[in-house]
Amino acid sequence: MFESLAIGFSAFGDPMVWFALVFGALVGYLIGAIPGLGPSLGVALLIPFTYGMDPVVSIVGLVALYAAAEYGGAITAILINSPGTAAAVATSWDGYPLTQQGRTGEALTVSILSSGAGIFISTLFLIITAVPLSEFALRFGPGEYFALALVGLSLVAGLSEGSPLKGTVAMGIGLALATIGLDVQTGVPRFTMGNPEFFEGLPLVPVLLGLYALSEVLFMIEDGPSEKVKSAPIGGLLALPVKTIFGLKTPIIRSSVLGYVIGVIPGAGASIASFVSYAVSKRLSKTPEKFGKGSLEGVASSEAANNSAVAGAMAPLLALGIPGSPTTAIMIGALMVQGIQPGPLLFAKSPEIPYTIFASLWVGVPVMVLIGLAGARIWAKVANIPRPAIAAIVAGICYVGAYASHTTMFPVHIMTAFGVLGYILRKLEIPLAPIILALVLGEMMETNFRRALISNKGEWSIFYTSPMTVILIAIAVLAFVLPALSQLRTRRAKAKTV
Amino acid sequence: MEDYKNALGWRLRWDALRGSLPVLDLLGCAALLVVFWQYFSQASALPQPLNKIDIGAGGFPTLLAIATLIAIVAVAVAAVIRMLDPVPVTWVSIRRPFYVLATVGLLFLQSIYFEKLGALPSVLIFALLTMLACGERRPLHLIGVPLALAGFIYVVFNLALDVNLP
Repeated sequence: MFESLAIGFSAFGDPMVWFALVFGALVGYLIGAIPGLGPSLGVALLIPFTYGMDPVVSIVGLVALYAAAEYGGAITAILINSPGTAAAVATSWDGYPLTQQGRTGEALTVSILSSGAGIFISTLFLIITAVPLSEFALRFGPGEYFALALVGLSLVAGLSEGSPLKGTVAMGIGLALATIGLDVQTGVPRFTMGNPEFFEGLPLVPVLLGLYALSEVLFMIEDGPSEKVKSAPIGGLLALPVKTIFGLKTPIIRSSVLGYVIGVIPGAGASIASFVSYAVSKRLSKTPEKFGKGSLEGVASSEAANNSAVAGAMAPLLALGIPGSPTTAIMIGALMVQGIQPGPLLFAKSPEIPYTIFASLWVGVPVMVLIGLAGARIWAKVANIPRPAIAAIVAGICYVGAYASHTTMFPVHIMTAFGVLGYILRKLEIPLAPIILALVLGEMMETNFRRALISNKGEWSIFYTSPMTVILIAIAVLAFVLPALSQLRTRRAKAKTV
Repeated sequence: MEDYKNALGWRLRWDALRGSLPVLDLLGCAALLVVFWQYFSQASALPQPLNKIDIGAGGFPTLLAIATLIAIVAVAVAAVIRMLDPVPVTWVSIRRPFYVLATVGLLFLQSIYFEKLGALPSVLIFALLTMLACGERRPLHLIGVPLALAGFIYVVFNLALDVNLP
């Protein structure tokens, strides 16, 4: 392991890797600080820039962007009470009251140091757990693999915002889209409408750009030109006594561990991690009455947790090939563009990729902290970039990026169609994350489903005789049923009060 | 809070198009039922497997279509239940609907003319039109942003990444 880690760190001998790290962190801060744009959109938009790059360089840039975007959301949450990402909502509960009390510098310092600590601690957990997990997954047969993909999809569909039923429909749409093209085993064209351009299946990057980025342009058009928000003056950065920072070590460590564990669960993600950690810290705090009124503990808990969820989401992605969040699902697309297939074999075949990701998460901590603190005043102004300009820039990069993916017009048409479809689906509250995940995992799922049946001479018993498959399928079923039941209960309670 | 009985249906004001979510869910389910029924028909018509122990090219899509059709019907049933129970329904609104529709048109136009016009001219023109649709009226911004964007795309994609743009 240490040898492989050394390989990961040795990647930083290349100046291009440093450039990618700094560039990714800068773009991440920029995107995270703009309310409405999140890490998913950021990673999707950055993929076209990685086409001709070395895989290691591009992955370092994307990981840096992902981590920095999660932090960037906290800046506007603290300064103007407008969280840049959903994961920064809990940060605003205490961050903005601190700003109102004239303690902006303290809030920013604590938030960025907690974010850095969160990533540092969770990366340690990632290294400790991802390798054994990948080794364990190597023992899986096709039945277990099919069940594992089903668990990933059902957790994302069940835990996604809104109705679990709509999450299931979204999963069906994604899996159906994944079946377009030539059948991998027989070579029969399926659902191609006679168009040979569909034979290779739907191009992933244009679909991602359409669903996540172009649909956002239509939401920006709805919002119209934004009003300028006056940000509070930033003073006292790093003026916080070391004793105060050390006093926060317990909530930071606890929230980092909690954030990592929640991040590992597909579909849970950074926002759930920050809410849960905030609630736990409040319950265990000696001064719970300060929470919501400007508690540094609250800011530290939320930020440590949402950043450590980044490393958590990487664990199933790297070890099992199952993305833990929409952003990591998009990252699978970026890896596939580079010809890399995440999963247990990645550690054996291309160890430089996962270990460079581990190294970049660690090396990225001081870089991110430095950029975050040095650029605090700039990031605060980012929220005031006129919305029409952002809409035009996002749309422009989408079109050029889609064209550059195959240098033909086919992906451009696909991206446009999925942009409008994404807008309609979001309006109908059908979540996009299960669609992307199903699109990414669909082929693997079908292949393993068919392999499992063939290996068992066509007998379906393979799905209920292996204990691991049974456990995984049971988890998948519960992931649908439990959220649906809880929603039904909430609705009944509401109906009683009306 | 909206009265649920009045909340079913559409309301069009000059600045917003509003519809209740259960009604929209039913419309969405109807569209998805048509799509997935077609998918099911095509999946069933795919060649049968040569080997009896395989399910063939159409096996997985057929199972998927059945499962998704059931889920769509369940969403439709849930929408009907929400219409009937006394809990106020959620509204879905499209603000500035004419501009949204115009932008959808612009996006399709851009995908048609992207190659004919060339990447940079089309980015210039459509960025300007997108900004106008988003409500930008300051001339300096309307000229500056598309020019800067086209310049950025030229430097990054043409020069740095060596992508052959049309």
